Amino acid sequence: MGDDAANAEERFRDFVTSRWQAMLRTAYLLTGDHGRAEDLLQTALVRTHRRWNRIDDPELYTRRILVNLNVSWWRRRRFTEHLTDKIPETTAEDHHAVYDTRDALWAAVLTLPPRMRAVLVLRYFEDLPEAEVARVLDCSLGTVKSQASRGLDRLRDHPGIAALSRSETSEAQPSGAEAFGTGTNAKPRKETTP
Amino acid sequence: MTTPMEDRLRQTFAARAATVPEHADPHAAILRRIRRTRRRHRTLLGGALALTAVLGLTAPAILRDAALWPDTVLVQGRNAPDWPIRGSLAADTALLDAVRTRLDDPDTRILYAGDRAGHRVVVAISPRKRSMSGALVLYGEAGAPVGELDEQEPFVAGGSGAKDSEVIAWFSAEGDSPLLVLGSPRMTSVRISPSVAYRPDGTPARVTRTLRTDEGLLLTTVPDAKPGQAEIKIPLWESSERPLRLPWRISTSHDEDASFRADVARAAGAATGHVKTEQAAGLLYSLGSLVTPHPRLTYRYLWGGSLGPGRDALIATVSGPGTPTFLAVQTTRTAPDGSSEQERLGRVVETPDLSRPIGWTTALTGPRDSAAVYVPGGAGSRVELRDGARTIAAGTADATGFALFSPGLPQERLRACEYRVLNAEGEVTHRGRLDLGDLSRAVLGGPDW
Repeated sequence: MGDDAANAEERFRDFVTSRWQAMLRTAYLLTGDHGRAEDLLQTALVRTHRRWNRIDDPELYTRRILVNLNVSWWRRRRFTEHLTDKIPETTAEDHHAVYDTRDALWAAVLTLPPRMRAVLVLRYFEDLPEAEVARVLDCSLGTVKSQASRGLDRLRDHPGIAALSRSETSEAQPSGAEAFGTGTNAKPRKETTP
Repeated sequence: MTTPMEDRLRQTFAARAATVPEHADPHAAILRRIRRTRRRHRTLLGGALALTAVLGLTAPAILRDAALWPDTVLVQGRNAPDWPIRGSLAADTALLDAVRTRLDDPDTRILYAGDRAGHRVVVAISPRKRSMSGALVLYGEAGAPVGELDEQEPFVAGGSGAKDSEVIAWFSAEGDSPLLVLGSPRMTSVRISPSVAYRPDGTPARVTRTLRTDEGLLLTTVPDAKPGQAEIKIPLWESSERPLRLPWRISTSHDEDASFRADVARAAGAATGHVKTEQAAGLLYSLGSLVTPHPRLTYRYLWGGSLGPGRDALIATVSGPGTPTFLAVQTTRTAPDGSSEQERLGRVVETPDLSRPIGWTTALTGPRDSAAVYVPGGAGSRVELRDGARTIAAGTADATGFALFSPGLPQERLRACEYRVLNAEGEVTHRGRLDLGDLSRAVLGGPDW
């Protein structure tokens, strides 16, 4: 192995070591499943390694693959699930958890289409600016804005969240303002496409 | 201002992310995965080369240079597995069985099988196929046995996510540049833009044509497709504002690359300030759509410098043979782990006047967007930012002629601001806007074609 190749491997090792945990968290939020998150991230990093000397932004590249791979899996899930005798892991971990607000919100997040969920994860977990989310997803700024807005609307409209909202409203906000951002910042309800 | 929902979402994500367990040695796990992948590639490659020796065929492109195959893959849509099988060979059970046998997967779903225009085409989705999409294309001469068809990995793309929005597309830049697009039976046409032409003022204009499909399939050649420029659009999509760029493999040898980088280093050294060679080369690699290989680009670095810790910017002019010249501004943020991200702005410059100041905004300098102004030869010049009639920031250009401002305005408003350069007498010698556009859009045009 030449010096260049050795240096490249060293840089890749440093990248994986330093960014693994952060990217795994993102992968988990995208998938909702620990095992699949790790598999997804490994697959993405293998692709990143393949093009290591030709990409100048490995994190952006890896994130983009993570999102695309997850969307791909989600699309094919119905087609592939019957091929295995192992029951796919879903959100069963939530069934016995305390069904508090976060659990309800997490369960609602898992019902969102994968690209919409990706927009929310990048925006509200990674705290990326909208323009940066657009770069990662390779889409327009307008798409990011609309997906984020529609995603938040869908979360507000989710039955579990709406029920909690009503409960919190009756306990804490008798004036009628809803708990989940439907007060002064409220947006009109929109028809959304699954 | 954030809403309660946004705050709760942040808290929920943070709480969930905290449940992710630590991994003792992720790099070792990745290396094991890479070795497994390579073993699988070698197995496939061995089979393909054996076929080459016996039949005198060329090895499938995807296998010949798998490491260079671009990952420009978009996957949306969800209905391809439900499509009916189509094509002149759809009822040829022997051929379909041969496909399943070849793929070693009885659950392979064949979407299209037919002989068209002298070619045999099979499009299938195989659950065991570990490609990103699960889809594959077998392609060869009409009448060829299944074993002699080349296996290609398509990119699968979808539009709005609505019913029938998915397409499976495959393109090869080799030979006569075949393009295959398979959509739902409702897809009646595909729009193709093989290249970009430039108007006299240097703005890009798309060359386009619309081709009809047969049973939702288009099989054609695009010999005039240009690397990094060729795109397709599916009119069926409700939201077809987003074209799909055809993937392209660009291969250069190590020696060519080393020579190119040496040239870039020399050019970077001639700039005002300091231009990092790696970043200078990165700009040119991003402009492969102007011309390939990259050494054929004509470029000049004007300025480079720091925008703060881990932030750098450079200014260059770049053109390809017969293309306009583009002014390019690249801002790079480098993370502590060495990874970096770029923001590239630019516009066409009809007659490059390198003495004119350049102003732009960037979101990569921190939580607040910044405005940057470069005044060639303007060390010590006074620079002001104006929001309408109000001066919102002012400063003095440094020894390289550069000034950076963070006036605390959101980017959209900052982009509408004007910058002014004043001489020692306080006279305005230059004024301009900070709304330097997107470089990619300046070179390739927008999605509206």
